[in-house]
Amino acid sequence: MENKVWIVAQREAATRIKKKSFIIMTILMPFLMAGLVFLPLLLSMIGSSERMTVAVIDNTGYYTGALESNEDYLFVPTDVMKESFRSDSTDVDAVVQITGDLVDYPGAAAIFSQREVPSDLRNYVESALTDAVRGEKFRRYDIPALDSIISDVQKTVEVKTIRWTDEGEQSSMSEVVMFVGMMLTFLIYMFVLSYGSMVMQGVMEEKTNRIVELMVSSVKPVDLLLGKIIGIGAVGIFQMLIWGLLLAVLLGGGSLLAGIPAMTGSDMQSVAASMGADAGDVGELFRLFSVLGSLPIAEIIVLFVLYFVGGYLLYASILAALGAAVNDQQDSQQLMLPVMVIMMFAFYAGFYSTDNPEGPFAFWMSFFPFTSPIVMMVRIPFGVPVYQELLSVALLYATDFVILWISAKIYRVGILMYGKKISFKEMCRWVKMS
Amino acid sequence: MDNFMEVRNVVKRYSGHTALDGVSINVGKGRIFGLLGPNGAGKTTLIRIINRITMPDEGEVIIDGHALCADDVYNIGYLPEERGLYKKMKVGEQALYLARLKGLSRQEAERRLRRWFYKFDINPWWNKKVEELSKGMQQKVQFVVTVLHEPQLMIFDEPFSGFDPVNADLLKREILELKEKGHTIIFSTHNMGSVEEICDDIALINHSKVVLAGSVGEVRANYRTGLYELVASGGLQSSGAFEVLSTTPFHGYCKYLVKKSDAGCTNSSLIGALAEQVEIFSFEEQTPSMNDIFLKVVGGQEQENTEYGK
Repeated sequence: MENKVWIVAQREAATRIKKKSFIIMTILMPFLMAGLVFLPLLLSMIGSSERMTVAVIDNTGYYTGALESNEDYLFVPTDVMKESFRSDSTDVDAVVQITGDLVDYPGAAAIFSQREVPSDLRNYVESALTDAVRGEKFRRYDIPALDSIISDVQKTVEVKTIRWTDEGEQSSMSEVVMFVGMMLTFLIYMFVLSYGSMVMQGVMEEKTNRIVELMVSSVKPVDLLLGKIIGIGAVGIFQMLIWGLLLAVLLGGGSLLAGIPAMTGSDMQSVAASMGADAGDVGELFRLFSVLGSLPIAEIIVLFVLYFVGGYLLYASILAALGAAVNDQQDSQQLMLPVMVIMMFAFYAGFYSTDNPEGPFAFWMSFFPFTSPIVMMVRIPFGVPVYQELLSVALLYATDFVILWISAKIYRVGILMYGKKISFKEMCRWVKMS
Repeated sequence: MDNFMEVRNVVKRYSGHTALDGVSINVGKGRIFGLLGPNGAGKTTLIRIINRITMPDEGEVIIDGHALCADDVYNIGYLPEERGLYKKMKVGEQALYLARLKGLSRQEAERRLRRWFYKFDINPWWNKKVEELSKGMQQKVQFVVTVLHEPQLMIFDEPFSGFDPVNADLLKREILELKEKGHTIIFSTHNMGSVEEICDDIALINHSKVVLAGSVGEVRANYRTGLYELVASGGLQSSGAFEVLSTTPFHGYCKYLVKKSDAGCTNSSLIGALAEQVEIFSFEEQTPSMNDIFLKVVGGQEQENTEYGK
């Protein structure tokens, strides 16, 4: 005879995976996320497709050379302002007019255009002219080798951060590590919350639609509860896998197209890599790769799965018990509030722990089972001793077991209790009773 | 009578009240057993105990010669009064799911379901979502699911509620057919008319106790009123053996309501006494309906309780 937990889990998973909204969300989300990464890149490419023609009227004759044409702007030296520049049929998009020596009269330059002057053009002209004026000013001070003195003075101090690992010294970048930690935290928080509520909704559906009386005559309540939690959890893992795979493919493919060297590894790396590549130069990029490479990837993945499952079990069991105790949506909001407060607390605890992952707050919160799945994920990329990881995971799963046991008792009584408003006190009585 | 199921001295207490107080019933094999009682009497609690949904505090349930155990759920079909289905699920899928939970393999469940759907003429519903069906249609599906695994014991809690007369009749015939096939049926209802038509035995539960039990015939015999309706020629007078309560003209004859003076007097001797006076055309004993008995027993207790309360 087939295992009933398995039959229930199959149904719970199948009905949810077949839902249109689930299919759409699962496929669309990675595209949206990849879009967020690549959109700025794409937009800047589109922006460079059309070259603006800018006429330059330089009455002083000093600055025409300073305004160099590039792929965005074509600067055309012109003698006088022509009336035709104002007509609609002109090829000239904008006119830069310099009426006096900018060294003495810094306000003597202006840009004219029929349309709003693009700020990019203004910035370009401003910086070009500022450079030219600065050079001229240096020249007028007449100090030998002033240029080199200035650039020498402006040199900044760079501090490298290096982490000792088993493989030797690795250059590190705490921003990246922080970013990875925050991503993991957010993922766990989001999945535990949304799939935990899904369990609660499912329990409430069975209770309010009076399905449960029929169900419990063939399935033990605890099997029904377990099947539901396992089935919905499986949907969560399935969705995460698809997102991970699609994101990896999209970002990998996108990076290749955008001329960024694609790298193997988890999609998380690709996200960080392509984001970093947008901003930084090649040297920066290499450092980023080495930082990501220095992260304990296998450890992160194993612990992520452990904490995801553990955290989900914990909150799903609590929410299932609450779902069984309530009679309608309104009651559920009330009872859910304390759980939501704990979850929000855990999320913020994780968030603030990124600043000081070794501080006492982050330390203790990464053992407390209600916050550990979220807070520990922040700490792991920074490196956590193995005994702490083991202790935290053990505590989490021990708590899961106890909470699941308590929830099963509340669930068993609650699902058949109609019309009565249930308090926390009443629930405690149910637990003691059986 | 061979008992298929026995409930022995079952007690179930909840905080504040006792739902069942030493309840014992015997359900004969292959019979239809009516479980009657007003709302809140404890019928649903008893049914839940038989289904192993709740555990009794005291007492035991014996089924087919052994104490009720976990595997017996495969041998029980239960149609609860509060019955619902997953609204978003397709009818066929849902029926398959419930059947598999009752221990049928997917193939076997599908084969049987197709047969029942054909029989009930609901085949086109297979791929419809439950929410698209009317309440009566859903009830049909629920009935099919209840009996699909062919359990020896079937429990129907208010099976006719929500059915139109045509479908209620269909259901009644199905239940009687199941009885013919040897299934034992427990039937919980408020509808006394259907009890008389279907049930072989009954137990009436009131205030957590069995207050009346036995076969329908016995119970009705116990509540004989000694009243008879008689159509005969005119001129009947009260005598030592009987009392004439009323006389009404009836198509040239008279219709009498007669009460027997001595409860020990048989119908034959009563007829003898009547025949001495008049020519009898029809003679019928006014047996109480189950509804009368229900009202009398439950109503009588209510009265006692109110008096006690004073």
